[in-house]
Amino acid sequence: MESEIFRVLADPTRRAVFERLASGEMSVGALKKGFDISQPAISQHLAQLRKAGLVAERREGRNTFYAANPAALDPLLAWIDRYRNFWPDRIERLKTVLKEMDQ
Amino acid sequence: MSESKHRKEDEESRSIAFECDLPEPPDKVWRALTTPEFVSEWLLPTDLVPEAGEKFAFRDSPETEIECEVLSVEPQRSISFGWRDAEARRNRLNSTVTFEIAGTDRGGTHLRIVHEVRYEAQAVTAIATIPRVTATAANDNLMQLRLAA
Repeated sequence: MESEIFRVLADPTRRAVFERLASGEMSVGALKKGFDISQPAISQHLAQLRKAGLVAERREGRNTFYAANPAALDPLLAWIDRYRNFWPDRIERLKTVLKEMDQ
Repeated sequence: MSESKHRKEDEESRSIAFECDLPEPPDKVWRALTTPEFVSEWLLPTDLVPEAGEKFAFRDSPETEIECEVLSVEPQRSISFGWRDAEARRNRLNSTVTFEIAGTDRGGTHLRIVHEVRYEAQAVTAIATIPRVTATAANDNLMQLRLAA
């Protein structure tokens, strides 16, 4: 999941879309105004951002609004989380190595 | 285990830390932490040379390596090295691993491992464009989720 977030935000346009949505909820039409790409292209990026949990969608009648999901964003924490179980596991192995050393 | 975050205007990092008491004396633990044969056994296969400035690697899969460089060594006390795995290289992150040891009054060793990650200097500008409020909210939400979990 974390690496999915990294992959999705690695695209500069997608990252820009996400950053734009971080300033507030908006429709695809409103969002498109800031970008020099087609609406289908924007929708593609939104679909990827949604799949990664970075953007949330809200329907109101015929309109759909998109907003950044700030909880999903913390690349540093996402990265280091991958080591949260790694080190305790390695410490257990270190204990075994220490017991077997010099024998 | 503890967790901390630091925020300054243009500097940001995350760290995790682990501590444990070992029955073996510090000199033996030091050897286990800095001799490539032993480190390869408990951590990951490596060609570590425990001298400041030395570049080395840990093999974390058949295809990829964690690129490392010894940043500082204080014999019998601490060793610190840069740790860049494939994900860090892709995302322009730098992390640092530090092993610290101290003798205990029972003749054993207290070990502390700190792993800290931050953005590469040139990546900071891009991150800074994300509205500060959002980034702060993200942290708070994640911290709360973690507490609830």
